[in-house]
This record gives sequence, structure tokens and C-alpha cells, in this order.
Amino acid sequence: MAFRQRKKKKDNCKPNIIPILDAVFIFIFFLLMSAQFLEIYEIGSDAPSVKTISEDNKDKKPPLNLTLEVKPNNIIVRTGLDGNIAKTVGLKDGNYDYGDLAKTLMTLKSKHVGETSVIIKPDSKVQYKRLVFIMDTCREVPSGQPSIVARNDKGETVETRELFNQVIFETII
Amino acid sequence: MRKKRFNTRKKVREELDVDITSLLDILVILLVFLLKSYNASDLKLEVAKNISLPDSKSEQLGNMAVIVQVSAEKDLWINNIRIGRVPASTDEKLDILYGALQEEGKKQDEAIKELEQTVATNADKGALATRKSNRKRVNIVMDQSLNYEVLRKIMHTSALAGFPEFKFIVQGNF
Repeated sequence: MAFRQRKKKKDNCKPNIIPILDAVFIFIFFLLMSAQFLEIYEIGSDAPSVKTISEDNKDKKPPLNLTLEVKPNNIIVRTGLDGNIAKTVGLKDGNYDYGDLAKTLMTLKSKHVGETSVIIKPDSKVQYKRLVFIMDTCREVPSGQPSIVARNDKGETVETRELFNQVIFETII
Repeated sequence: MRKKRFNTRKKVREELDVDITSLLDILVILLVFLLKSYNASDLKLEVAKNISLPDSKSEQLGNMAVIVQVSAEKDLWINNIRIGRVPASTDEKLDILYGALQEEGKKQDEAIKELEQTVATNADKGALATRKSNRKRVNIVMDQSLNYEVLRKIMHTSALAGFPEFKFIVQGNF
């Protein structure tokens, strides 16, 4: 008797998945309501503001004052308070040479890693689509390019993929 | 024979076993697809007629604020209400847009005041902070074929009407 093995009854046990299905249905409705099939994002820009700086608060290092003059046939990259031309980016296959622009901006960023703003001064005839491309190029290092490693004003080594993400349009007000 | 005919047949009630595996498969696929297209942004946008958004690499989600839309024909909308057309004049300030934006600004100020008076819970405080931070913001939805001249007029007028923070709405996944 003691060695008799009890035969286990194999019940056909089915899990009750009705509550899970209910939850999944509710979840689907919630997701359907909040789904946006057009992927919409934003690019920020502020109106230029004027700030008075006292002699004591003046920067020791002269500001980069990066300005992009966007003309129908080229982009003139100017730097410094005098507006010296750092580079003129031409056209390539009917569009601006964004690769060349990115390279120029990366070089400038590596020398002024603390700077985040760029002033864009477009010609009236420049298409909005092209301006968005220029803003994209200004904002971050293109994919496939290495990050920028440079020393900031405090002497610390900084690694960044951001270029000049504070875009200001000069000719608004 | 006759007896047999009038005999009521006893129906055997079998437990019907519906196979829902395929339904579950569809639901899971739908769930994954919807989760992928889920957008946490509070910006709900109905793009107006004849507006083709420019492509961008931006991944910054939009926020709810006043929406100014300009179509390829230079028709103007504020919060999905058509207010007119950008005139061909050389004036930088667009009077129609300026008036409409000022109205919108007043509405927003009143809403903020009301919220300030009734604020009680943490959720209210959060809503008030969001409203305040978005008060000077304007979402610009513009057709990609338009020139900078139109954009400049829109930005100039918006800044004059008390909305100096511009957010260009673009199409991502580029």
C-alpha cells in the first residue's frame, strides 16, 4: 500500500484570459486615441534680445558671435564682433553643401566649446525647407561623425555632440 | 413511426471551444504598432490644407501653445481657425495676425488668472506652471515651399503681439 503510487489526474487546466483581454482592449483604445501617425517635432528659436553688460561682467575671451548669412547661392559664415568671414559655403547638386557647413561648424565648436548660439540672417528669397536643413546642421554633429572633444574655459575636457543649438534669427525685430 | 416523429430531440449541449489564438496574435501586433506610434507630446495638431511640413532630424517633442499655420497659398490659421491671407504688401507687421494673437494672449492671461485663484492640488499647480511657461510660445506650422520673407513677417508680428518664443513644427523621422 505504501509503495503504491498515486496516479495524478491530469486536469485540462485552461487559464482564464478574459481579464487580460479586457485590459488589452482598453489599452488599445487608449493608444488609438493618443496615436499620432504623423511624427511631429519642433525646433526652437527665440526672438533676439538686447542685454547691457557692465565693464566688470565683460567676458575675458571675445565672443564667437557666429553668424550665418544665408544667400540664395551660398552661406557666409562670419565670426567675431567685426564679422570676419570664416568660410563661404557654396552649392552642391542644387542644394547648399551641408557637409561642408557641418565641418566648418565642428571646427568652430572645437575651438569654442562653451558657445551654444548661432545667429541666422537669411535672404528673403531663401526657402523655409532649406532653413530647416541649416538649423538641423547647426544643432548637432552629423551621424557618422565623431563627437567633439575639447577643453572649455575652465580647462575641463568636454565631450559633446551638440553644436550651436540656440538658433536666433537676426532680422525679426 | 408516428410516435417517433413527434419525439422532441434532445439537443446535446456541448461546450463550444472558440480558438482565439489568431485574435490574440492580431491584438499583439496591433499593440506593438500602436506603442511604436505613441506620442507623449501634448501638442495636438491638425495640419491645415495645402501645408507640407519640412523634414527635419529634430527629436524634440512639441508642446501645446498657440498654433499659427500658413499654407502654400499664404492662407493664415490660428488654432485651426482661418483668419485671412498674408498680404503682398511690404509691411513687416501683419495686422490680421497681430489682432488675433493679441486676443489669444488675453484669453491665455485670463485662464492663468482663473487658475491662480482656484489652484488647490498639485495637479493644478502643474497645469498652471505649464500654462505660464507656454504663454510666450507660438508654434509655427508653415509650408516648406514658402520663402523666409513670410516666416520673418510671422515671427515679427508674433514677437510684437507678445509671443517671442518661436517653435517651428517639422516632420521627423528624416
